Amino acid sequence: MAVTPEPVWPDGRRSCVMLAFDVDGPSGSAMVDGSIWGMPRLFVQGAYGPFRAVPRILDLLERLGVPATFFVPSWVVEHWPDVCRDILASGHEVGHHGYRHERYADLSVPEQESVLQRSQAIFEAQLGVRALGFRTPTGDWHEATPRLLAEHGFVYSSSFRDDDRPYRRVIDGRVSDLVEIPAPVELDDYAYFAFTEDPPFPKGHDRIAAYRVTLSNWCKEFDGMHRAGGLLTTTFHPKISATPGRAVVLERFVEHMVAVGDCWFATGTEVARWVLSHPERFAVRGETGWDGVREEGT
Amino acid sequence: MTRALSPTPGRWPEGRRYAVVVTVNFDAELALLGPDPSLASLEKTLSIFRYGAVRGAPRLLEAFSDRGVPTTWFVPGALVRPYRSLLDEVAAAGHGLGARGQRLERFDRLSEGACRDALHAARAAIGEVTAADDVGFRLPSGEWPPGLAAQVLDAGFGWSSSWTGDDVPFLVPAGDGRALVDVPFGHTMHDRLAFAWNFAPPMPLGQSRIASYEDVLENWQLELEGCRREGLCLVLQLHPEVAGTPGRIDLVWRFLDAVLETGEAWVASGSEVASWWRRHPGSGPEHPVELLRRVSPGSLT
Repeated sequence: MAVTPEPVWPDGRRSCVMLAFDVDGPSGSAMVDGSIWGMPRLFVQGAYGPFRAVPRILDLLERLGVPATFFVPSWVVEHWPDVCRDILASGHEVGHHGYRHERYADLSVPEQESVLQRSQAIFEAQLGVRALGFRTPTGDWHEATPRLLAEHGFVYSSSFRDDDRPYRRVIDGRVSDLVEIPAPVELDDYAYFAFTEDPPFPKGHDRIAAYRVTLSNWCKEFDGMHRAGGLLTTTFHPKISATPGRAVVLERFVEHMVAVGDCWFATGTEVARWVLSHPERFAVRGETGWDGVREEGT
Repeated sequence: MTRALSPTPGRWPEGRRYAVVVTVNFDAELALLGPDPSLASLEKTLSIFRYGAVRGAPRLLEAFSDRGVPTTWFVPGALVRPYRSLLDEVAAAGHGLGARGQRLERFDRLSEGACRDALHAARAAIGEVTAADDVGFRLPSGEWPPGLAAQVLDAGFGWSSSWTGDDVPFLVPAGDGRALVDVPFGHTMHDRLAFAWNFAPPMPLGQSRIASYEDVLENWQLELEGCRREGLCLVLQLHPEVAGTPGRIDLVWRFLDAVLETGEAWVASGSEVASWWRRHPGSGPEHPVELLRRVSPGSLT
């Protein structure tokens, strides 16, 4: 297993890191159903992300000279436009993450189109750019979502869990230009740190993980991905993993990856463009294997 | 260029770089009986919380007095009579007192009148123990109902420590141009969330394992480091029955020693921090509570 992986990244780099943050702020299911307006403490706890944590992260990235991708629900863009402009001005990327962090699996096709169009209009009006990247808010997407993303000019999604490097997605039986950049749950800070009193999260009010152990897990995931020559992306939420103390951990994690030296730090669009310009180096994946299995069985 | 807060001369008194507020939530039997009075026959479970009064609180008081650390104790008003001598000791040692309602009520489930009655009863009860006029309020649990900030002020409380979502105090709008200073906390700095455990009723809800003591201390020390870097305000929540055991008091000692040895911390009571912050011009229009007031005026007042 110590074999050098086949080189797929620019300049002979061994692995790739797409550092990514989901700036949900107070958006999410409680904003979609409107209950957030009766939960001012939950609102303020969520708003901590764009208000305090994103500025802290931008400082950190500047110190370490690393680019990142921020998936921002457009409601957050509307209410924190200056913070989002600062993300772009600092050389990072912004991607789509719903309007109020809607779960795409719950939306009809016209509803999905409406969220995409409204969000792109907000991005253009407030930030002067359209999103090229997409990350599913709250779990699953709808079976029509990938087709809609391709039709609306998206270049990539970073939503799935099914590989440790990007691939080109098959949509309606044809290889599309929509790249998928899988994001492993081990690098999702919710699995370690997220906590709300009421409603309880995690549901059983599990303990907040040890920061030291979390950092160790993350570093091991990176070390393994680097060994395997893959791509590691993160699902870090500023409000969760950029409190004052956790930002110290985040900084140590990024320092650990930077110290390796031959890792390509890229934004989502840079990764997707690289995949599309070197199609022979990356896999093509079907929609799902499950339908085929089911058909064979019947 | 720094976008986050950075240590600023004058943000804290005495040239200190950052602030640390140690708070104690003393709930005694009401931890169980406040939310559900029908559990009064569960003597064994109640004894968990009596331990806090018998052993935990004296042990915490000793740790604080050995180090000269002023703290703030939040007590439901109904405990003042049964625990008067302990609370007199707390006050006599120079610690501040505040209230978590009269019986750890869920204020978001009470009528406006019942909220008002609970707040006034709690304020009067605390007033029996201390003549201090700047008494704090901490929401026991649940959400912050509209109008509560005004009711807290009207009942004679001076400040609150009930919110998350900021690293320094901020002003909760109370309507009519008034505001309630809140000294916010984070969930990491909380002993009960890390360590409390009971069989039935289940605590925590999913009965996850008791956390590693050393790991929790390290989490606290990392939050202290983050606070020090940016010159913020760190609030610790302790519970006598949790932090006051012979095994865990060591964490309190070591955390306080880490705070004190930097020499840069303003270790102050909640009241001192709140009254210092009251001189601030306000939280600024960009603060999330102000944003919430703009987008949903009925959420707060």
